[in-house]
Amino acid sequence: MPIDIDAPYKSRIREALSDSNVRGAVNRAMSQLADRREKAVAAIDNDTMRDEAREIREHSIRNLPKLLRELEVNLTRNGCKVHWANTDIEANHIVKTIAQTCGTKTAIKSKSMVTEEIHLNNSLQEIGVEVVETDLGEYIIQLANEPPSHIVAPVIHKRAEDISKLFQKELGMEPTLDPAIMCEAAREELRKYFLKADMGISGCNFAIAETGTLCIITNEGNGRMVSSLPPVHVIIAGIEKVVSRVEDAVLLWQAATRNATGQDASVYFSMTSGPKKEDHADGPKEVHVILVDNARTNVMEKGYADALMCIRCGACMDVCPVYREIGGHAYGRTAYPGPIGSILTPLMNENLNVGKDLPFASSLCGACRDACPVKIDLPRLLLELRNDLSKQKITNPFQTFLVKSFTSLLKRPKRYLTMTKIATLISKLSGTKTNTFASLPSPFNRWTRSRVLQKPSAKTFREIREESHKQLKHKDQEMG
Amino acid sequence: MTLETTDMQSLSRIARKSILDKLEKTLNRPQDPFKVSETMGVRRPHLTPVTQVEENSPEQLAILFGEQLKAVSGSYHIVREGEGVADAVLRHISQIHKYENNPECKNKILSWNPDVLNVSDLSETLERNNVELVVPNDLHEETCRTEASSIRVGITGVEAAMATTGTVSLGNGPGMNRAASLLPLHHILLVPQERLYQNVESWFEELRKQKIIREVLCDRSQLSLVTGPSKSADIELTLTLGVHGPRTVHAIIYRAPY
Repeated sequence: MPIDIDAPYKSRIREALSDSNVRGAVNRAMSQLADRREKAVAAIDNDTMRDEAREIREHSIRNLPKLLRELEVNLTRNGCKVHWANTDIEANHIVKTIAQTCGTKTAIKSKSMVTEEIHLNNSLQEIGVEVVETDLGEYIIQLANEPPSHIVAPVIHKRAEDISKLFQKELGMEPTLDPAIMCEAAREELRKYFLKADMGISGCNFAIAETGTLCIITNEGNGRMVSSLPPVHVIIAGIEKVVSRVEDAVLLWQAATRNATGQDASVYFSMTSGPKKEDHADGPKEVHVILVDNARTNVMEKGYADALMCIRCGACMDVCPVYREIGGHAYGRTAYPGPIGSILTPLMNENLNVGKDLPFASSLCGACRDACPVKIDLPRLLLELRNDLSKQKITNPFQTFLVKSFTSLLKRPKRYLTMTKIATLISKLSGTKTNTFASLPSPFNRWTRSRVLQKPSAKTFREIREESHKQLKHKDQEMG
Repeated sequence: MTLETTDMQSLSRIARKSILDKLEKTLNRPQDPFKVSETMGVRRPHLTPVTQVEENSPEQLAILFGEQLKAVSGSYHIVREGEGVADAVLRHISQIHKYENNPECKNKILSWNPDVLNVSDLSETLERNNVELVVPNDLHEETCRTEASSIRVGITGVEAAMATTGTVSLGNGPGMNRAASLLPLHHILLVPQERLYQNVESWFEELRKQKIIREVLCDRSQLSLVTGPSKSADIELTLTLGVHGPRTVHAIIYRAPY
């Protein structure tokens, strides 16, 4: 059973941890992906690639308005229609209007995180457009009616047998555990849609300002199909995707693929600059580009522009010890799970209650920072975000009370001493059979419900220190 | 123009202004919008190629390119002195046909315009062996699309081939369609040796030097860098080939002029 992603944070985590199938699948897959990534970055001068990728992305974000204007000029010159959208509602409205104007019946999509973010599929289905995901993983997810659980490997939480069951039900397929056979079935089914669709929808990995070129990375070839076969191609790009030069996109492409899947190069890197020309045999007749904000400017305004440098490779998820245990769905209803998601989700939501727990779903071990190809200091951002959230007083009031009382205790040595004596007394009174408390009375049981609480030592630190001093003195005298 | 499109355009104009204004305001304020600034927006003028090799002669690059393509589940053949390119193509096609038991479209190959492929005697040699090169005119047209999508083998040239990654660059232009490298299950690449480069970066560097980088990208409407056959690892990270695009990619590398 997939976990209920709309349940509260703690029950999501509990559900995720109790599903040993998902835990096993995610853990195995993540360590495999992390190994592949490790090999791919060890084969090159990764420090230089990271430095350069960081420079490109920081330069892009610091020059966003200028680059976006340049991009718009060049896209228009290439024959693309450029649209801008502040919010998800506006972006969806634009796609719907284009679909209605073109009389779209069937739209095929290649994998795109921004369309997950704005829930485009639902909105197109509302006006009667059939929307088909064509990335194999996304297609499976769509059949199962679930959201993706990883930004690169969306169906990583499912085992082959789960997928086979789904294909038996939805495609009338014979049972099999062979991914190649399931893949072939999906190829045949999806090929029909590729040929009949009247609109192709894709995201955008990098938008090159100097030439007005939009790049998408895929391995399956669906990105190339979506951008080549239907008469209309709609590209939805977050405003942060822009880079200044062609060479920048070429470097970031390699940084992304090495870090995402451990490949030197993805199978396809499709660089679209506009609609087909009169003398071209194929390609879309119309290309629409929608530049979407959807809270990216808020992320920057709140002082977290660092997070906008992300190139969506998923490396931070693959190496994260927390993600490995709980999987993507435990991060709730968001397009972005894992460490980068724990930063983006609360920042991108107007309602601060959405994702407010996520910055705390991290041990701050720093593995994500060391992996990130654009050198985003994720643990630092998580800490800053915790700080901001606690200032907004939306952290647990009980926790705040405990921390405050402890702070005041530490400021008064005499009271502190008294408290430690009381603590040792509690320890002595509670017996010596075990050195942990099974449970505490309410309201303290909220702590022991999910944690093991060590009993206080039977002696205070000062007592132990005095005793050992005495012993040392004694020894010294003996040695004489 | 309908009411809805006017509505869409005016909304878009308002959104454009508010996005750009807000970005400018945030970027120009005294407090840096970044928590950690490593560069303050300063960047080096030249980037380092991600993959680099010593090899430089066309012969060495041909082998390296082929081996890299092989490493990503492709295959290659280097045409020897005295051997014909058309013969090499024919041999590969008959090999494909051994595996493909599909008599229906056995004798058709989806292709770029033979003039663009520029391999002497290609259409003639194939014709003599009952293989027809099909060059689609307009894929948006129903009959053309139906025929193109039934053909199992495609053949194209390349704009450039990059040795370190086994990548080829496929343009889209007059006589150069996307379909031949996308729809069929098998893709044959004709790679003239003089189009080999060490890596992707060196090709773009060359275009930059010749000041044609913009033309190459914009005239093509789409430029695809393709590295091996279509693949997926979405199901339990198991590698599967030919998910949507070709399942086999075979490069025939030859010395021009031919």
